[in-house]
This record gives sequence, C-alpha cells and structure tokens, in this order.
Amino acid sequence: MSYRILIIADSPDFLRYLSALSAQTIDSRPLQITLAGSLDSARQKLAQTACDLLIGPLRANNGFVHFAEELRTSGQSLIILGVVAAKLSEFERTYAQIFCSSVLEANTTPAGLVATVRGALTPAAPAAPAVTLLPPQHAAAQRSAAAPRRGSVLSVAQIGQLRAELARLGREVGVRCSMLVDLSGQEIVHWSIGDLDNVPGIAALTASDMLAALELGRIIGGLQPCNVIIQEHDHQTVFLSRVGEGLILLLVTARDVPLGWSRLALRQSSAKMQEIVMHVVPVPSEQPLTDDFERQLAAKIDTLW
Amino acid sequence: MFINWAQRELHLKIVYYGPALSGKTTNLEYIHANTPAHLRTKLISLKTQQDRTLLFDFLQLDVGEVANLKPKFKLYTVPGQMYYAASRKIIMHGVDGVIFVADSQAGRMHDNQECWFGMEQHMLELGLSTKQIPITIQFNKRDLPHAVAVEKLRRPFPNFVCIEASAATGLGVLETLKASMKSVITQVRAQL
Repeated sequence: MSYRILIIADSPDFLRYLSALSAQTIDSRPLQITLAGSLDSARQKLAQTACDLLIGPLRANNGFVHFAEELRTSGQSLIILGVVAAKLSEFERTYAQIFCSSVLEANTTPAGLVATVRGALTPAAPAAPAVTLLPPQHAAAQRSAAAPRRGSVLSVAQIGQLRAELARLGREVGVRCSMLVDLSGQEIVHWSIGDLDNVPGIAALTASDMLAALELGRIIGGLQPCNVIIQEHDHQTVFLSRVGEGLILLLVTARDVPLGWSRLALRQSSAKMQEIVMHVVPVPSEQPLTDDFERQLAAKIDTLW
Repeated sequence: MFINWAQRELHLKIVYYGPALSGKTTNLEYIHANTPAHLRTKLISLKTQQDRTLLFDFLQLDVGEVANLKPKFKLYTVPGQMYYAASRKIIMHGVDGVIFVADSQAGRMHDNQECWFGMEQHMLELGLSTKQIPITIQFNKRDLPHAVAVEKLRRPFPNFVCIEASAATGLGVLETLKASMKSVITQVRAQL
C-alpha cells in the first residue's frame, strides 16, 4: 500500500524544496504524491481521496493555517507538515512559531492530528527541508522520544550496556575518558582511567560546546548539523560526537592515537549506543516518584540551608 | 530531567534567566558560598575579560538521599546581554525550571519585559512553554533606592510565584531557589 501525500505547491520554489521527497519511502511503502496548486484544489482532492500526509507552505496570510485548522476540527486522521521557506522575516518567524505552538496543542485533541514544522524557527533554512515522515502513531511516539524531558529515562540494563560500551572503547581504542551526556548537559554514563574531577561540570561543558557549534553552523547557514568536534590539545585529543538527535559522546584519547582510527571508533560506537537508547522506557519499571518522595524532598530542601 | 535508575539519581536542570546585570551570577555565587562543599560542585563560570557571563555559570547541588533516590539539581545562569541571545537559547535545552531574575530598578522595567519575551520565544523554539515549565520570579535589587513597588512589578506576572530579593546581601536568594526546586519536583512528578 502506498503512502499518500498531498502537496500544496503554489510556487515553483516550494515545489523544488520538496523534490527530495519523491525519492523517499516510508515503512518500505512507495510514496504516492499528489500535487495541488492551491488550497481550494487541495480541499477538492482531499474530498475525493484521503491522504496520510499533507505538506503545504507556511507563510503569513496564505490561508494554510486556517486550512490546517479546518482539517483538525474535521476529525480526519493525517499528518500536516507546514514548511517554512528560507530567509523569513521576523514577523513570519513569529507567525510560524505561533502556528507551531497552536498545532502542538492540537495534538492532544481526539482528532489525532500531528503537525510538524521543521525549520520554522530557522532563519536560514536548508535548501531542501529536513522532514521526518512517519505515520501518525509513530510521529507521536517519535516526538515524545525526542523530547529531552521525557526521552532520558533509561533502564538499569540500558545504562549497563552503555557503560560496557564505554569500557570497551577504553580497552580497544585507547580512550582515556569517555562520557555520554544529553543535550541538556546531564551526564548519563561515564568511564575513565582513574577518577574524573567534576563530572557534572564536564557534562555541562560538553553539551554547551556541541550546542554552540550546532547553533553557529545554523546561523552561518550550514546545510547539515555538525556531527563531530575535534579539539587538539597538547597531550590529548578531545572528540565530541552526536549520538542520534539527543545525545553527545565525549571521548578523550592520547595525541598519538590516529584521528582516523578514533573517528571510525566514534562512528561505530555512536551507532551502537543509539541502538541501545532507541528503546525509550516510557514508564520506568522501577517505582516512579511518589507523594512521599515529594514530601520528604520538600522537607529536606527546607533544612539544607 | 534525567533519571539514572542504576545509580538511583534524579537530575534536574534549573536555569536563572533575566536581563543583563540583574544579578543571576550573584545568586549562584551566593548559593555556592553558602552551601557546604560536600553538597555542591565547583562553580564553573565562562566569563569575558570584563567579568560578564559569556556562556553560562554552572553549579550542581546534591540534596542527598531522599526515599531511596538521589536528587541532583543543576543550576545554570544565562548571559544577560542582548547580543548573547543564541547562547541563552542553548542553555535552555532540557530545562526543568526557570528562575527569572528581574531587576527592580525603575529604569530596567523595559529590559525585564524584553528579556521575558525573549525567554518565551526561546522556550517556544525548543518546544516548551511558560505553562509547562515552572517559573519562579525573583524581584532582585530590592535594597536599591529606585526600586519599583512590588505591586507594580507583580502586575505582569499574576500567575507566578514572586519573591523579593537582594542577591548582593543574600536576601531572598535561597528562598527563591527552594521555591523553584519544590515546584520543579511537583511538575516532574506530574509529567512522569
């Protein structure tokens, strides 16, 4: 069964942005793309044939938001993707943000619509938009897995596997110190030869360094987010590498470890770790935070100072 | 938030946000100086040569064991100056709670407001909202002669916990932090 996509392509530029989509498949199903030259035409085509994904240009006053809202309230089940073109004005950016925010709220309604606005907040959006195409049920799951507030609940077994992987890097690749942190600067697991001083501080700096590099790339118009940062110090080389969308791996090796070797190990290790953390534990098997915990912690906070 | 069930640790992130020179770093320095060494890490400050925050200040507080869990609060400040907006957004990643440090002086009302809007925008860009993240507001510099009346300061923030402070002397600093820590825990519990 093909995945049906309706694209409202009201300008050649917009169509060009989306041309990359035609080569993609979703869940191994081919794409069946229908074009509509206007919102009215899209409305008619939707009435004739249902679609799984609607892609349209998100601009101020082009009616797309109202159309999305109309679909949302109609109870149809489809993903709506608003794509924002490059070089937005401040007004359009704010507009896109408001849209993004209102549609995210709409996700919780029984209509079950999911809208994703990628690049909406990027003043210099890439030539081809970075889109993630997933069926509605997967999109919701992916959104919660990607969210830093919920995605970082890992099981004991997962932590153990991650630690074993870091230890392997130490044994086989000559890594002196390694640490896996999330984008908010929380250390998830670390391994080192000897004691490591101020682990939370290292984690905070690792995340900030990577995020600063990503933001710098975005501002200067990089098409792809930076994957690895290499710092060559006097006696050691420090690597910061992204593991999936939400994690960063810090590796410290001696200067005489060849860069190519370290990068290869980084790539392999990142893939392994990504596989481990992919299985997000939505509800921890252990007892979650209780009333009692909250009460006791509040009492402890009061006596701290 | 990150829960390490293997170590039974609960990691939470609180960010001090506010306009330039409102006292965010002073808050953190006071907390660092008044917390026993075994309950906190070293204070990391990334400053410019002019002693202004460049990227962030960072301090972790270790509350000890509570009901078989070890909560750890990571406290960050953001750089306040307008041209460090990109840095401020970076620090807001994965935030669990915000302490908005407003300057009480009459001439800083516009800066407070602009900074608040900037924070809202950053949160929106990160898929967060002021309804979702507990925000505690600190009216700092209450000791200064041109401090605006608290009633007037409170007006734009009717639904938030507001605390008066003078970070230079320590007045209200710990009260603000305690209020934020408690609201963060309540919020995190509700979300789990």
